[in-house]
Amino acid sequence: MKRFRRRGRHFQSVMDEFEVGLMLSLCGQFIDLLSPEMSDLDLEADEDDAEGDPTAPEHPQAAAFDDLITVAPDPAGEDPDGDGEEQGFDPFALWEQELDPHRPDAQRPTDPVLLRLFPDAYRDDPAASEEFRRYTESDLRQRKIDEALVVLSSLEASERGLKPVRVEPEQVEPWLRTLTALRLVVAERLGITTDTPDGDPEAVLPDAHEFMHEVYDWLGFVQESLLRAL
Amino acid sequence: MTATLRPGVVLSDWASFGPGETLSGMTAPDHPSSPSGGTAVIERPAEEATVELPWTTVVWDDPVNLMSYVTHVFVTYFHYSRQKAQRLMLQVHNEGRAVVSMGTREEMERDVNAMHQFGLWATLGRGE
Repeated sequence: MKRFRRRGRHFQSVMDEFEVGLMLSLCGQFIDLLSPEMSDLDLEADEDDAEGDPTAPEHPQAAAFDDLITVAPDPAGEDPDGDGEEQGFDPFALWEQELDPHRPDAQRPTDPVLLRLFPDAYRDDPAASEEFRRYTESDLRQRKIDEALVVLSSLEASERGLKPVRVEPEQVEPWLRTLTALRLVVAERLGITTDTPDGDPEAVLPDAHEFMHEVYDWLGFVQESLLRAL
Repeated sequence: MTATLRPGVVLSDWASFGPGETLSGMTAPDHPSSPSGGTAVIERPAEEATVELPWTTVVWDDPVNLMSYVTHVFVTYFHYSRQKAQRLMLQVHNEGRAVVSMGTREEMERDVNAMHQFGLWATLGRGE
């Protein structure tokens, strides 16, 4: 990957096919993580990934990575929406769920990744945090999904890296925020905390740990280079 | 009861509030001329309008976010000068936390929500 540079009003970088495929996969998994009820979209995204990343089978580490984001240590953390998924796609049920301030997905997540993306707003007031979550989390989720879709579209427009990855001025914030979100997710799965800044080797599959760490650093490089180009 | 977050305020409108409308600095939380600020003030229950300690938004240190990004967020969202944004970022980094804004509870909930959208770990509370 070559660092982002300003080209007139927009910014662009050159990424190779593997890097574009990796980031497409990360964004797709991130969207999956935030929208378990949108199974139709997931299938479509997976198909695109399969077509758009022919290098994947040659990179077993990357393949191993496919599940790392979406597999939560505690499956119960992603389950609140499980009911809706089983019933199939019902827009009315979905709207009803969206409009219901007491819908189950407004509960405090048990998956540490989701808890990092949607932290408690009040440090010492669980009731106020719950209230806050009830009115903000659904919208926040949707914004994160929409922004990841912006990144997906920029990546797809690069035609697997044949063309430079182009970021328009209005896409800069979605890119920066999505890169942040991806780094937060990967860091959580790697067990990167203030106490273990290099990650907890026990946190993910040991053979994937090193590769994941490279991915984490690479995402940081992408973000830093975009910030410097501004 | 803490039903201070109304969907009309946070769910649809927070992004459209220019940060300059909610905050022009740590010392001037009130903006009577701003429609949003005016609404928020009118809707405040009387007993909460007279408080000893103001509401604050605190950003906490985390090992993931780049220092350049945190500074960028403070400049972009709060419209702080680069110098002030950098000082706050360093405070977060060195002391583990920093108060980044002060104001009404609604304003702080909006700021915390925005920080969460940026991926920063933020909470609101009274005082520091």
